[in-house]
Amino acid sequence: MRTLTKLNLDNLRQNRARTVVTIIGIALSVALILSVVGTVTSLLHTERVDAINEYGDFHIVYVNIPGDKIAVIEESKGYIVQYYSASINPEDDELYSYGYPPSRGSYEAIMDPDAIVRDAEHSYCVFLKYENPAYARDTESFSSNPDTQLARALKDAGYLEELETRTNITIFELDGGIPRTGRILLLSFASLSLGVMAIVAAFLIRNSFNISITERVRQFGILASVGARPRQIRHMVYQEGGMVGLIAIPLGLVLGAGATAAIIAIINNLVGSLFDASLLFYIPLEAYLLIIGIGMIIIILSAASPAIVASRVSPIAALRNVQDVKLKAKKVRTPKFLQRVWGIGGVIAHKNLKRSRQKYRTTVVSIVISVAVFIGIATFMNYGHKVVGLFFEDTGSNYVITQGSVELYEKVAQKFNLKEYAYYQIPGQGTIENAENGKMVPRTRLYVVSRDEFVRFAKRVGYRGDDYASQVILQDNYTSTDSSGSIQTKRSTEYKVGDFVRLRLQKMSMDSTDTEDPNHDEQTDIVGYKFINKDVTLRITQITDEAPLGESNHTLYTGGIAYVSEENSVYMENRDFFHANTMQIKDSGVGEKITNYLDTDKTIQNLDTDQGFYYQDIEKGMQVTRNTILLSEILIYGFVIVVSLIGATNIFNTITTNIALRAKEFAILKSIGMSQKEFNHMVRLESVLYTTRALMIGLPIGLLISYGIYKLLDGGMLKFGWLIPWWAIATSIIAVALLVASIMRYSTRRIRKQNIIETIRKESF
Amino acid sequence: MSILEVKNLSKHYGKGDNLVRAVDDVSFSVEEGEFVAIIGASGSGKSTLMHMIGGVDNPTSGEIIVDGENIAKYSADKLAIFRREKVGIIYQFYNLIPVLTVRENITLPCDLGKRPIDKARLDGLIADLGLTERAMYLPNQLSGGQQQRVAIGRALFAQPKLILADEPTGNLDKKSGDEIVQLLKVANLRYHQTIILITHDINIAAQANRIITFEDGKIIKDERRPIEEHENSNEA
Repeated sequence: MRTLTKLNLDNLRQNRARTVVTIIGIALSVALILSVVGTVTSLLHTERVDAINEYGDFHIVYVNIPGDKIAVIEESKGYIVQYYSASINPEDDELYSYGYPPSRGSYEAIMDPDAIVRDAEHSYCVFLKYENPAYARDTESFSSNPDTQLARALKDAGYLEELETRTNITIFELDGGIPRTGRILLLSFASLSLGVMAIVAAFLIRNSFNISITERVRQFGILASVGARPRQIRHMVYQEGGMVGLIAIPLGLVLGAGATAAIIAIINNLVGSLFDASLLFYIPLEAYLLIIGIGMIIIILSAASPAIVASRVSPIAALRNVQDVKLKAKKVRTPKFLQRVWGIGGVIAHKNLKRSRQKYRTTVVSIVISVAVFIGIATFMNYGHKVVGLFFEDTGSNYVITQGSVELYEKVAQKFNLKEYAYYQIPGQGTIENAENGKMVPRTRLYVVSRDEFVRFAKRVGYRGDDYASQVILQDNYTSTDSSGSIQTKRSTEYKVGDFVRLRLQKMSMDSTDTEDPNHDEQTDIVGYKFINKDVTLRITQITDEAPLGESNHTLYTGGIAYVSEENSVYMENRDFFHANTMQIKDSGVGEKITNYLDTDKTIQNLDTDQGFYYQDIEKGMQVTRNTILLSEILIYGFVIVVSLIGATNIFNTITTNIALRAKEFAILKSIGMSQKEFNHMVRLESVLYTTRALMIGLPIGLLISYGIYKLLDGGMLKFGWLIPWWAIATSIIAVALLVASIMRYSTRRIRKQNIIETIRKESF
Repeated sequence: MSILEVKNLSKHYGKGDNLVRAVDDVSFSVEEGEFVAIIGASGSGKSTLMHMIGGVDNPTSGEIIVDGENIAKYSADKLAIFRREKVGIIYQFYNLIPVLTVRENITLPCDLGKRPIDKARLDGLIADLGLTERAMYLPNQLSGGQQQRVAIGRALFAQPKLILADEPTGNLDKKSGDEIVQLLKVANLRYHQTIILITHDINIAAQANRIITFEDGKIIKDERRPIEEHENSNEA
């Protein structure tokens, strides 16, 4: 047995590169799993610490129980008394708002039961923990649960008032009580991703063992021929796994704990203000044990089938000149273009892949899995990102004032010396029929943009001239929710550049002389008011899906929004139809001063419009939003990078071993006259063939996974259609091509330099 | 005219006290159409000598003139072209390409040189080798003797100046081994093919018309004798 162990160690040492890469692969998987678990445990721990700090460490509190009845609670089954406190004023807001338990600051804990005066005059709050939280709130056990029992016991003891209790819900849940949906979601998401990662890791690591076995077939054959039992050979494979795991799992734990600490530090730095307290790093011993267990299961699972294959190697395999894998003698016609472009090397490469399928299957499988998982995760993360982006659209504005007046806006801009801001004026608008075909077209909104912003906007959408007065920029990206709840953004008008848009400006008037106005619209008159209409025509000069400062990139108007400058004649000639809408300020850091000014300065009241204006400091909230987006990006890319790395380690192992196994074949080719150039050609073509084949399988599977994930999430948080993850596809193609090419180069490096004769002399083939 | 001239050829391994003179200042020449057997004990340097002649190993010093050109100074690329055009090497362990069929293995050196394949000659050769029915088999579907016949076919088909056979029967039973030697003899007589055969089996060496005996990196005996075709064809 000791000889076998020594053989194993030798084997690991001889294939140092592969051993190291396998260890890295396992360590990364372990680290990834631990960092997911660690982040969740840290979140939960922080929640617990917060809850204990705020309310105390208990599950339920019985409020204001007379001293002579406390013994009933103490003797009741199913509870552990934590501590007591003096009675609490029922008028206290803290106690009665929201159903929360009294905050810790509002009472002083009495730890000593002897300090309680046990008479009817004094009353106390009793803070308890359930012995079995899972059972305590189980509806099935309602009639026999501790609370019901206690209520009955207190009634029997003569306490007839209504029982007042409060639950410390966070601690109760964290200790195993029935959790709320939010927590169930978090936990099931975490365990789902754990499961997926464990399976993927097992699959990838299995490949590493598989490839190691193919290389050692001869050794196993010799061992079998000298009397090693199948069991002993199986044991060798498991032992190899064990040796690798012995280094990889602890390494993974260290990496994972480090990554968790880093994630928590990043969260605290970026979105610390979202939480009351900063997140605490906390991974309990159980989590480490769980991960060690998962790691061991992964290794055992991945070694299982290679072990069986190894134990079935016949002694003859060692004695005869037998292939380690079956070849198929099928007729293979190499495409003419391969022959022409790549020469004989190409033909051999092609035949190699066609006839020696098993040999390269491991490699293709590992690329396929890596690509599919990458695309799956990338889209999943992309959706998460989209959701965040949808809820918190960053329009670039840091401060917004609504329903002010142009005068007010100008005054603010001047007073605070603002560098980048915009304000908008809009007219009242009526519906108008399209004169050309008699059909109603959706009305296009008209926005007049303040001068500087209009220039910036026009340049941004591609206008290079200086005739801003005649520019009419149509934003046409109507965003709507369809019947299935999906949000879709698309063009909704049929306007082209150069088309004319007709608009009906409308204003209300109380002036009776206006009735003489030919544009007076009697149909829409409201009692006491008259509506004056004026039809105008604009010629569209640009169509875009972008918006100027502070406006949304998703218009809600089917007719789009037409932006014009203050110099536009439609505005100049009809000023009295327009009123100020919003002012958007991009300058950062001035929010507080502006708020202070608008709150206090009396002079601006004169500039106010009738309705009174509103203002909002967006920057403060936006900072958290931007950081949330940044955080989600860091986590997404971190996750995707680690998963890709695990895939890469596997691709590395399979390719290098495959090439090493063919060292002799390459030497023979050289000995009968294959030149270095032809050899390089052959290797390059094999890379190309590997890559295309793997991508042709991997990409569709990845897309299926991506669509599956979309379907799974659809109707829930997703409000938009399935998106083909182009960037993930492009990244996979480029990454796989580069990876395979460079690994091929690396692994043939030694072969390029090898001594033909020494390689051929090695008997094994 | 000499097809091969070896002049003061040496191959040394190691340094100082560990210096091994695998081939030590060896000179000899081979005429076109000769069937030379090189015999010697294991480690006598005969294989090293052959590998250098075959252009798969580099000499420490000396000249190897094949068909009028000294290959000892060839670059790697020129050596590759030399191997595919001028020599055919047959190894003890056949060394066929596992993913290529019998036919593809045989035409491989010509394919590498992009030389046109003479189909009729190929079919004739495969028939001579007794492999007609197995032409589309892969090496792992053949017996050892059959694989070695494929290797001989590969060496012959390119019509090289020299065929180098390194213990071609070493891994075969007597019957298969005799068949292989017979094939080489036929090639030598019928196509006037120059052959250098390495063996430590004196009975096999006796089939050649010249026997060079090697010991400790040096030639210690070089004897010629006429070859009798009819005697051998009776055996076959």
